[in-house]
Amino acid sequence: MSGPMEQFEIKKLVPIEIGGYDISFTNSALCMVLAATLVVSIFALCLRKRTLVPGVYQNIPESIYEFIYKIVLDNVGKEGLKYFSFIFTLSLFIASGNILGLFPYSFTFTSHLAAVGALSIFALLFNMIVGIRKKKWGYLRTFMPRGIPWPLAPLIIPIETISLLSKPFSLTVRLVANMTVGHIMLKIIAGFVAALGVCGVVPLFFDGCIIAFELFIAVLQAYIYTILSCIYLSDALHYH
Amino acid sequence: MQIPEDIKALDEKIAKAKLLKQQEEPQSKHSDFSHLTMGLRLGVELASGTIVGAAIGYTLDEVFDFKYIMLLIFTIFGGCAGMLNAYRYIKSINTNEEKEGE
Repeated sequence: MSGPMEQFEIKKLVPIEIGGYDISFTNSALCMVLAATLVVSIFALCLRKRTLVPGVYQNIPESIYEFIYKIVLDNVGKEGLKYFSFIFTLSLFIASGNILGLFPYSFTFTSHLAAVGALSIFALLFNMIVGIRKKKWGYLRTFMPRGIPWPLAPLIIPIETISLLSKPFSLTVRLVANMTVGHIMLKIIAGFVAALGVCGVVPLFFDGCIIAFELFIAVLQAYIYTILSCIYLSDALHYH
Repeated sequence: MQIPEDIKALDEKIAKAKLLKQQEEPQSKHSDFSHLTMGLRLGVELASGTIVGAAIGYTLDEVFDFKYIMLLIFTIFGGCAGMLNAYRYIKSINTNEEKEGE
């Protein structure tokens, strides 16, 4: 029987090497492509017949759209609606990645620090660019808030810089830890099902419950990721 | 596009029902789960500041060969940054609660 950590192993599907750099197409990349394709396909299928009064299928993407629209409006304000498409794409990608990982033989790319970390750093850079575009040199006030005496600058500037840089890290750790722990737990309990024979019904029941819980966690974590991205965007736009 | 009368009436009916529901529902209290989420987030904020600070210090030591002085200084700065993030998070919760209370 395979170990609980084996499910997180990256396997090369199409080995590609350019200029000494390994940019192979892996199972993680395949799942990312699948997640993106899945979201686009569901939206395209559900929005084939667009009517003023939405039908059952049209309601699905419209509800998701309105839900994320409200998050952006509540946390960033009307000014943030300009960046709605970015937040919408990010949250759907994370949510579909989390849910896709629950399927057997699939791979949870959101359980990898590299994948989620890259997304978080991208989100941080995006927020920084938005902040700099809006406030120009005033953005530097983020590192030295108003009202603080200048002699304290050598202490405050590094603290504020680390505070800013730790934001994508805490975003990443939260999502990765939740996904990894949930999948390890599922695998360990599933191991007992085969080992206990007839009595394996008990862990099988628990595994069923955990899968339902994991589905909830998958959506919840995507929601938290979206909310926090909005808060960081709001900080970049309104802070100080 | 002109909205038909029956749709307008339905819209008004939905708005009325939403208002009635809002009035009937008591003020939502934080559940145990949201307390757990708050605690977890605070823990992650505190730890991530320290880890990022230590990582910056270690990198500076490696690049400029400062003999682990930067690691020491930036770990302390990182701890402070973690506490600052945690403080801001708590402050934002209090502000939200005050807004809800008004």
